[in-house]
Amino acid sequence: MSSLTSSAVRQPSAKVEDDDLTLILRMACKGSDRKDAEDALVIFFKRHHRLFKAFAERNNYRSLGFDPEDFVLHTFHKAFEKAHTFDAPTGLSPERLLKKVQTWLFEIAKNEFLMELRKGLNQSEETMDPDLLTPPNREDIEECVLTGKAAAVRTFLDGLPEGDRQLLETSMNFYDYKAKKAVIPADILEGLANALATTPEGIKQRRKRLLQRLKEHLEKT
Amino acid sequence: MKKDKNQAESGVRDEDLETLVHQVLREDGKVFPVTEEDISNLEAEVDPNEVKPIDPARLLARVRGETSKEEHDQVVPLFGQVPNQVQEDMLAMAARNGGQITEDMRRQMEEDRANAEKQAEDQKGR
Repeated sequence: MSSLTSSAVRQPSAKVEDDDLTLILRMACKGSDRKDAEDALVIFFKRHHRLFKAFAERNNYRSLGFDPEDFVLHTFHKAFEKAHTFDAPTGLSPERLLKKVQTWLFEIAKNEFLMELRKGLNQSEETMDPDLLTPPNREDIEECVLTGKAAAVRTFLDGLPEGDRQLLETSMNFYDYKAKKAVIPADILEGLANALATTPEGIKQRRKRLLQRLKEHLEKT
Repeated sequence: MKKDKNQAESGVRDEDLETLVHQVLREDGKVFPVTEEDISNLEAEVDPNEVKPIDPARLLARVRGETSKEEHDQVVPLFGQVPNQVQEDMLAMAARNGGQITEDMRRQMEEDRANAEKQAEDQKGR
């Protein structure tokens, strides 16, 4: 059952002490009380946005032509528009609710990221591929730990030129748990190629070479 | 379920390679988090308090379909860093649509300029 329709009790106006559910409900009611919805958005934004900016800065999406602040603003603008879609079971602890909200925001952020990659192709519609957005089932996440290899992977990645590391990291956003490899949709591949000033085939070949080098690196270590 | 492939084989299969890279990047918060565990990993890797906050007025401006003052100020003037003389030359070139100036045109321009300068001098002298 949606928490949005059941648990949040509306007070006269948005307050800093409001929990996320209450704020999202206020945002969802923007049609009837625009000012209250915007007040709620500001509180919600101040509470959460720095994690998203930290993520964008850490992953250096600037090298793909993305401005981290712009990326964050896009995400929260979209969250405001889609507030009515938020859903969470009732009775969650504050910690679990926080994680639900963050997961929801990151789904939106990822979609915005895909849209930015598509922009160069004039395809700014939201992704229609649910596999790119839906969190994987727990049973699909079969952890395959190659003992001692994780450190070697980090060393390898740290030693790569920025562009190569960016390519590998970005491509892994399209990791398919069932196929056990990154499956990059053709239009995203083209957008990524534009961002990195190469061709889709160039991306594939560069990625293949990087993985081959990594494989050799791991076999040596 | 965790599998220790390292003990079973010395080489690395391609399938395991991608899984391993993905797993490392997830743990390091370098791919978009999709699970609550991913978010916990990310939170362990970054400190949001070190991030310079964004002015919420910029978000409100977007939501209202306006351009905030800050974003307006961020627009770099096209000729901001260009010396005045170069700027004038570029504007003049644009005005004549990139074309060459003929000798007659140049003579007329120099005459106009001389007249304008003389007029300015006369006004100063009064």
